[in-house]
Amino acid sequence: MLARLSLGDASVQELAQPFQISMPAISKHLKVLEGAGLITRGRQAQFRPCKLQVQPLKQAVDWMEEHRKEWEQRFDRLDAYLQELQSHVANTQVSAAPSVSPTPKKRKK
Amino acid sequence: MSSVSPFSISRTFKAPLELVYEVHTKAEHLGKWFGPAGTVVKKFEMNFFVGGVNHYCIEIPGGVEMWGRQTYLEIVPNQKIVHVQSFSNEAGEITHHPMSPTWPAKMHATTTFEVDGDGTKVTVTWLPYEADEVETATFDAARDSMSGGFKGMFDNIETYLASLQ
Repeated sequence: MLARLSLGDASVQELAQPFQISMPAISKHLKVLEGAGLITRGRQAQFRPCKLQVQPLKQAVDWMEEHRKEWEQRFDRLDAYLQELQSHVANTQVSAAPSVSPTPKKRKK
Repeated sequence: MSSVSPFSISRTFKAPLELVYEVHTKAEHLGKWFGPAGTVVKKFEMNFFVGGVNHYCIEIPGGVEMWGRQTYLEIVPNQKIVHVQSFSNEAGEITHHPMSPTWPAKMHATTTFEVDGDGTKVTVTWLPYEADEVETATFDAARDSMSGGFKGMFDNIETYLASLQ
């Protein structure tokens, strides 16, 4: 529905066309999207064209992309940290203790 | 219309499963990697048990503090950690996303661990949690926009819409 609106304003009938759901269901969903600020609707009594509100949707999409980037970076750090822990375990095994613990004590830099 | 498909991300690490799981379970480990690049984990109060709450603070470049809160729902050692993820304030109260007020205040986050070759695959999956219709619609719209291929239009669409008015 939002994809259709990204091409331009549309009436409820036009929006409903591709979906196999009832008009009341469509209306209910539009009300939710309107409540979320994702769309606005015209005020003519019969024909109330829906308009996509770009800004709120963009903020949500930006946040999701940001979230993904954040996790990619987090995974990068986790990867480096795991390598560091494992090299530490290896060093400990060679140099001193027969400890095979996968959880070395916190190291001071 | 509730969310059916989650948002997820995964990565395979060259480390044994027990170790990868372990670094998700202790504050001393999380403090080392949980903050994204360029950030500093200033506080990580951890209570790793079902019902336990984590409260943390990540300082992003520029000195801005971002507080977060996690509540554990399910813990299956070496397999799965399920928690509720929220934005928070210093007092530990749940808050909304500062820039996207209709973004779900609570997200259901599942982290799974599985052996993948000689490494360990970690998958993190999110869904809105106890979300109202508006929050769910916002999540769905963002996810669909990202995966549905019309996110690329955003750069042009504002200009285009402005030209129509």
